[in-house]
Amino acid sequence: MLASLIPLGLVLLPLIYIAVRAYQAGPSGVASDLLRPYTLGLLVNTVFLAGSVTILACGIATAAAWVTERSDLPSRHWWRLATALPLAMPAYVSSFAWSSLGPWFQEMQGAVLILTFYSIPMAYLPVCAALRSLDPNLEDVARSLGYGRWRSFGRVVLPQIMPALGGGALLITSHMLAEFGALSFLRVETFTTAIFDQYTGQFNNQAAALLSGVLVLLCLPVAFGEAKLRGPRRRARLARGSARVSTPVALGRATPLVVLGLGALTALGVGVPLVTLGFWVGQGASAGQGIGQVLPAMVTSVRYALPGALLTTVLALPLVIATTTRGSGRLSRLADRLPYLVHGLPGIVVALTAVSVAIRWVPAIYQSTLLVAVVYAVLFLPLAQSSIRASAELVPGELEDVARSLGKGRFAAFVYATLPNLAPGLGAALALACLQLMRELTATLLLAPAGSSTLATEFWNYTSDRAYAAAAPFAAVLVLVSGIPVYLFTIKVLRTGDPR
Amino acid sequence: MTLLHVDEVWKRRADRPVLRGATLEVPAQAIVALLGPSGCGKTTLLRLIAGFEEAEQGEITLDGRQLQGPGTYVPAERRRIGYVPQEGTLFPHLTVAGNVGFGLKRSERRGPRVTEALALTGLSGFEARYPHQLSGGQQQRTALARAIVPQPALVLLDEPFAGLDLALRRSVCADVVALLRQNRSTAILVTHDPQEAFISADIVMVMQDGRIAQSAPPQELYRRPVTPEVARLTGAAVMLPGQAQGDTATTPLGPVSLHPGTPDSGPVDVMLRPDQLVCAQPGDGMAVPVSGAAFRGDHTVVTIMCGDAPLELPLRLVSAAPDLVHLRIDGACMAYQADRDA
Repeated sequence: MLASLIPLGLVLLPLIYIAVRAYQAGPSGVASDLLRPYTLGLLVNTVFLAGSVTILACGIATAAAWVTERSDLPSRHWWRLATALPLAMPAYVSSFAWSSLGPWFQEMQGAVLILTFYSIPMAYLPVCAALRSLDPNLEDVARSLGYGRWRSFGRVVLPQIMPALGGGALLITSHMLAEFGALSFLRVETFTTAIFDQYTGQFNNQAAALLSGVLVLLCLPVAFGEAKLRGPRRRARLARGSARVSTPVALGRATPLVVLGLGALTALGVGVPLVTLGFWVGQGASAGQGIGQVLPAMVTSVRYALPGALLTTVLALPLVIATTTRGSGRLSRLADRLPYLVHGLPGIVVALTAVSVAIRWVPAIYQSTLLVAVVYAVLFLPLAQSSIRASAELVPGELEDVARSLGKGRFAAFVYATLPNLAPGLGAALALACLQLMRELTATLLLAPAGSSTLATEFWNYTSDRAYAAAAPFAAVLVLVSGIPVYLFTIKVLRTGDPR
Repeated sequence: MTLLHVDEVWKRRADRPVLRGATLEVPAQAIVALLGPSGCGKTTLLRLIAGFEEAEQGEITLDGRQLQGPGTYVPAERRRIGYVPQEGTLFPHLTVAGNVGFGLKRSERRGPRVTEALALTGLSGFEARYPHQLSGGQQQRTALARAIVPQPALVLLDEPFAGLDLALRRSVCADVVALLRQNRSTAILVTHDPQEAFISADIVMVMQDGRIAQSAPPQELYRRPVTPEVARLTGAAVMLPGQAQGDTATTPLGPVSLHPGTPDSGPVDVMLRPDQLVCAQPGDGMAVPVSGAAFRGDHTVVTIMCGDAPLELPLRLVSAAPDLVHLRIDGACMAYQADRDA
């Protein structure tokens, strides 16, 4: 329990920082900074963007998941991969690719379009997994009781996949609330971009902190919604009999239409961004631009991402242990939830706090790799937590009891009985965190020691000057770097319970 | 009156025929057990009757209405056939009352029918529970209540007790059958347990290789299985080599009388049930030397030599196996044509 206080403290730091700044500003300062039409405009933009992207992405993802899991669509395996593929593209990279096509793909309509395609896999993968683990007999029973296909989908299948879909929706919403790179690029003003602007453009720390406070309030319902979904799942089965392989639903004459729809989805989600990116890489190569800097930038990226991923994993472990194996007291539940709340915060708020605290209290770590790693850890704790939890839930508590009955102390029992069984989760957490950190942009922009350039920051610098061709090689490497783990991860999710 | 007709139904799975002209008839208000080894096609047949899948050939008629035939396929939701799957498969997101009322119109869900069904199945007071809060037996009874509340013409039960442990299985099975009878339901119960079939059904149908091999009341099926395979699927069977002569056969255990309809000449395999083998007093029955014995509690497996081949006989012996047993065979036996050289 004590071990989980350190990550908890780190996570709480930004919230304390916001509270202190708000207190220093006083009621009149808060009022003058927040009570103006500008804030309302930000609120409308933020809510509209997050809401429409979440609804559109979830709707499309559910339909795509159903046809690729439950119908007799030809070469379903490839469609599944193709639908999950946009995961490999950071939002700012696909925005870069799309917006280079013309001004229509900027502003709000462009942002909704681009970010919807970017977000679909976040709902698609969990819904696929849920559909696959669903007992096909449930639908049979509903039909034997007089429910047609659509009604049994609505009354039986949908309630069952709701936790997965809801989880996906909340994930998308929190991503939209925190998205900075893509929106700044597409010239859409939300709280996140406004905070960045206030801090770096106007040097107004107070306004930035206050806007962050509003954003935290927006994140609250999302975080608590997720906490509720994670509650005990209702499952009822008498025994693990042979789960019947569900017979796929014949699409019949609708097949070409479905293929067309999925084809369009793939073309818009991955096709257009990749082709555009390829075009710009070609342009850059013929002009002899950028290529030479890619390798050093990649090395720098790894130099920050690796310690960051390690620290993230080490800090996430006690948080998971506190909730999964040590019962679920109120404090440990809070410890489990809090990082998810902070995940909704833009990287800049966390980075900003870190910079302020470091300058004031520990100037030695200002502009150091350690500070970067700490901020990364705070930002990506939830990611590591989820991966580790997946393993931890499979480890029976009796394992430690047995170890203790064999004469091991509490700690030794954990190390020798539980920890080895967490290895897959820890490995996954490390790999995923490393991947995410390599493409992290916002915090890196603010924290990376002066003069160091990573893949993401180099890309950002070039695109800020609309130097598309020079930025393209960095984007291409970012896509490749994220593409490999995403491919493996997707395969794993989609293979689980595959009949073949 | 015949309620359900299944006529020459064919179905292929992965290019392998699973049903090969399955034909059966179910009288109204009868409880029928569909008995067979795993992979014989019994679950597939049930799914075709329920309408979850379409047959490739053949006809299915329920109460005079064609459900499946050339150019006809009534989907499951319009067949009025109740279904209780393996493991019950309750809707996890609904309460007991929600599950039981699922097949009723919205206006009827709050009415007396759900309450009555819950009382009938002994689930009164459990209305607000969720499936994960019920025991295995309670889940199964809820699943049955859910299936019979809309008053289906036919109830299908797909190995509904396979997930329960043995002690619970018998009692839940007895409960369920009593409920079905009380409700005057017509039901088909799929099982691979012959005892379960005998206990619950009026008619037992043995299925083999995608066809119904035999359909008969339990007693008749047990005494007069039409093939050696059906004999083995319906309980322990002792096979004796013999020669048929009219309505008797000579066997290593002496002459036995045969049921009508068995071969009246030539080499046969005589099938008798263990309860037909009686240990007699010396002088009554045939004296046979014992070459081995294994104590099994309520019976002892005694090995005798039949020419060169050992033959194992389950016998009820009060004391340790003697060197010599006197055996008598009670009642008539079945005999099947054997392709041994005479």
